[in-house]
Amino acid sequence: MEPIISMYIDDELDIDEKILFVEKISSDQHFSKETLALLRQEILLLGKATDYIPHVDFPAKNKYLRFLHGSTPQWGLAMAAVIMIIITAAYHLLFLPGDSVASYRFVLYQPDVRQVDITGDFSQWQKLPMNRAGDSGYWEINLPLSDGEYRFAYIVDENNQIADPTIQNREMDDFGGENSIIRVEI
Amino acid sequence: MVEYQAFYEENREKLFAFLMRMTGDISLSADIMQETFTRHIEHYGKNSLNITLLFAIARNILIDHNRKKKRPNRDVNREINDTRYEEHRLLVRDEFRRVYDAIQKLDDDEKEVLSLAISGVGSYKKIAEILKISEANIKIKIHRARVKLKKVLNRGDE
Repeated sequence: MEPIISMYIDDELDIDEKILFVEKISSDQHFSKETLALLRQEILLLGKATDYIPHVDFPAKNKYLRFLHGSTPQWGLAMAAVIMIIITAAYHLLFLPGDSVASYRFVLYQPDVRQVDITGDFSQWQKLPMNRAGDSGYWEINLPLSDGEYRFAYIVDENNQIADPTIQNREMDDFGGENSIIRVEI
Repeated sequence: MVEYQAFYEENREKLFAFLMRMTGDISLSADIMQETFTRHIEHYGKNSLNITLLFAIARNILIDHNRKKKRPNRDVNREINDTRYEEHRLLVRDEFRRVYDAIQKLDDDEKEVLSLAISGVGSYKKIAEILKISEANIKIKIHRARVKLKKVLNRGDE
């Protein structure tokens, strides 16, 4: 049992342990062979079994609607009406549109590509992967956005940046690409 | 919300890699990942975003799942739903499939500690926080798991 080999593999050695490790590697052939074998095994261990990573569906809104399932449609409608009245009243009473956030759906038709990401000022220009909408050829993502103006673009197959073809309002970015501009009003 | 989205993007691959190593099953890993993030987001705002809590939640769900699995009732719907991932299951690479199968032969605690170490969770200190055992113990367990895995893989070659 030589935990120091695993600590070496996992970058957990402090300076004294590093010295000990190098001394052991150069003096003990069995130790050196074991380290090499475990390093080679690590290549297999770190490999991904599949490129597929599922997406999580955040049920932010559904959570509040879930209790309606299983009840009668009339009851559900009545509940929905009551909720609508409460929301409308609260909106008018408090009038705080700046604090509200709505789910905004981005959709792009790209049937023959492997991957579509969206990037924009709402994600600090980090790429967010879009999901295939079944076999329809459409890609979609719902993002929580508050009131305001947003710039964004789609990235097709990791390197091809395109603006949203359904949105007229566009501008060139600093890198020669084109971004779409949307205005979200809640 | 944008902050949470960034946290999700940063960690979903690591979490899925961990779950795949723990279960070797794509559809089960996907379900547990969904449940983990759903529970984790409920803590969003109360605590700062941290990977330790995310993995601790995933681990609890796995423990619950394993406990239920020991009971003899089978969920028929789950088997029907499994076809969702059929095409992805075909994509599982053979050489890695062998390693995943070998990991399944480790004891639960060895499998857990090794899966955490190789799934990008972070230092032994973080792993110790998730598993609530000492760092000294983590060092020994991780290495024991690697050595045992080597034996299992070598046995397969014979």
